[in-house]
Amino acid sequence: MRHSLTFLSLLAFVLALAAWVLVWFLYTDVSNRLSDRTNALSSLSLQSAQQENAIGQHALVSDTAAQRSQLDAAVATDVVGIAGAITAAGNAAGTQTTIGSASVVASSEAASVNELEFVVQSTGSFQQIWRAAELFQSLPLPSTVSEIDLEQLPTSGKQTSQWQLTAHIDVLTSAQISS
Amino acid sequence: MRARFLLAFSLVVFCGAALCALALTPAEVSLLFYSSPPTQAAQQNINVPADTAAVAHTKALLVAMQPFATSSSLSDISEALSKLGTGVTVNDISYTAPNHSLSLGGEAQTPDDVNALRQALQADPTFSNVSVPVSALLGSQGGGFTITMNVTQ
Repeated sequence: MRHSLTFLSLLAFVLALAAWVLVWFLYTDVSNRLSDRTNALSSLSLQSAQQENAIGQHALVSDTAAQRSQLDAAVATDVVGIAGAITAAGNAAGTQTTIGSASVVASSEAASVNELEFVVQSTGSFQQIWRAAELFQSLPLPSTVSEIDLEQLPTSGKQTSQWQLTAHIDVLTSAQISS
Repeated sequence: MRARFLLAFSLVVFCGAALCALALTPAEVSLLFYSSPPTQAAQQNINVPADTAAVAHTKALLVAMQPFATSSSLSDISEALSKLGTGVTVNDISYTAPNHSLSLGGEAQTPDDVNALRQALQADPTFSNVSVPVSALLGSQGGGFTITMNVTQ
């Protein structure tokens, strides 16, 4: 009887220990699963933020496609086209217009554009070169007149007063320029 | 006696373990059934590098175009020419946009005409630093003069 009680008590003790080992494994398992789940949620949150940014950026790109296309088209005129527009403006004002030179003064690799400076000379009456200057300032191109010089030419006899306009016109173009 | 004590102690320890296991069971069951990683939202057909490049290109283009949105310099020249008196003629006008510098060259009948033009330009807030060579004010250039000034923005 005593032996069986001792055996029983030892068995109960072993079972109690085994139960705590089981509890320890259970706790470890829960802890690991929770940790994994937290990491997964954190990763998912990051991915979600990145995806939201990507969607927002894509929406911006899609919504502004037409405007960006217009912007690209505005600087797409090639050198010959720009020279033609300048000469046409000068001629429309009734002046004799020639383009003296054209050179690259700045470039932007990020925007893939070059800034060209055209040196233009127009000759005519003051009203004509003034009109030409006005037209040069409102060319249908991304351009600006950086320097303008109006000079009265020496006249002889009864010749009407002649003026010469020298304008430095900077134009932005995406046309490929070989240097 | 010792065996009974061990038996009682073991039962208490076992009960403690059972209680702990019971407390952990709901969490274990919950994680067991719901522990599969949340499924990622369906990826849209978005080309992120292409979009980023497009945005960067447009931004750079807008920055490059910014200096081209300048005001007309002819209105400033007109403003200066409107100050000319009857005794003054101008035969050379020069305007440099980057430093907003305007210069008028011409001839005046008297030094007083040059001085009157200088004063009229100085009185106009459109212009600053109006400068005339002293020789022109004294009439020692035979009536010729050159006035330089800055155009205020």
